[in-house]
Amino acid sequence: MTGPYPHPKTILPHAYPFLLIDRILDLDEGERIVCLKNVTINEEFFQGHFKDNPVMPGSLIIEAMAQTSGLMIMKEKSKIAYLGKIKDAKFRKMVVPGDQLIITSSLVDKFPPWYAFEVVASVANEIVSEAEITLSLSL
Amino acid sequence: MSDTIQKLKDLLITRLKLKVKADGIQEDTPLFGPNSLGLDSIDVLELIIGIKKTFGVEIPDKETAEKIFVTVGAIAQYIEEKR
Repeated sequence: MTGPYPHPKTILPHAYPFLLIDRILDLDEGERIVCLKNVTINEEFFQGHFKDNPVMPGSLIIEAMAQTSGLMIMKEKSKIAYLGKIKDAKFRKMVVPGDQLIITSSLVDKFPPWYAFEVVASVANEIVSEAEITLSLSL
Repeated sequence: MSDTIQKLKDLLITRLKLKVKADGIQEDTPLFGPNSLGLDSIDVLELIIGIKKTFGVEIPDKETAEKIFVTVGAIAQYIEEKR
């Protein structure tokens, strides 16, 4: 599939304030997907995480990774990919307002309904987080 | 064959974080169901990935998976055949 790619909200069932992907940047069908999340100060979670010290929660980086991976395997809104497993998650650097989070997810293997991905999130070409994520695609 | 079985047991214990020792897994211990190692369907994908990485053997389809993911012995036999 070549760009321009559809907007994530036309594929994912997620909506504000929980749609954590702004754009698909690249997609090799069934192999690899790259997505963008612009992290802005007006995100709801920055109001409390933390007060006077905005840091994107690691759990939401994982969620963005899951949404990125889901975009590769969800073809229509009737199918939903649920988190099945999170493995070897690491958070190396803090993600703060103004960062452009680039998330690259590669499909490792699948055994439907299970799909396993290796996911890396970077900001300015530096890895901020990585994890292995398994999704279950509902029928 | 015994080497394959030992590696498989290690793979099961480390990758699936089973709370058993290698000695507690026999060739004919069932993977699923009562008196088994207590695996579930999500573990199958983890096993498929582990077998590919450790032995370079692929499990091509669901039918094959259903046939071999019964006991450690059955998986070892399949690996030996395909290597």
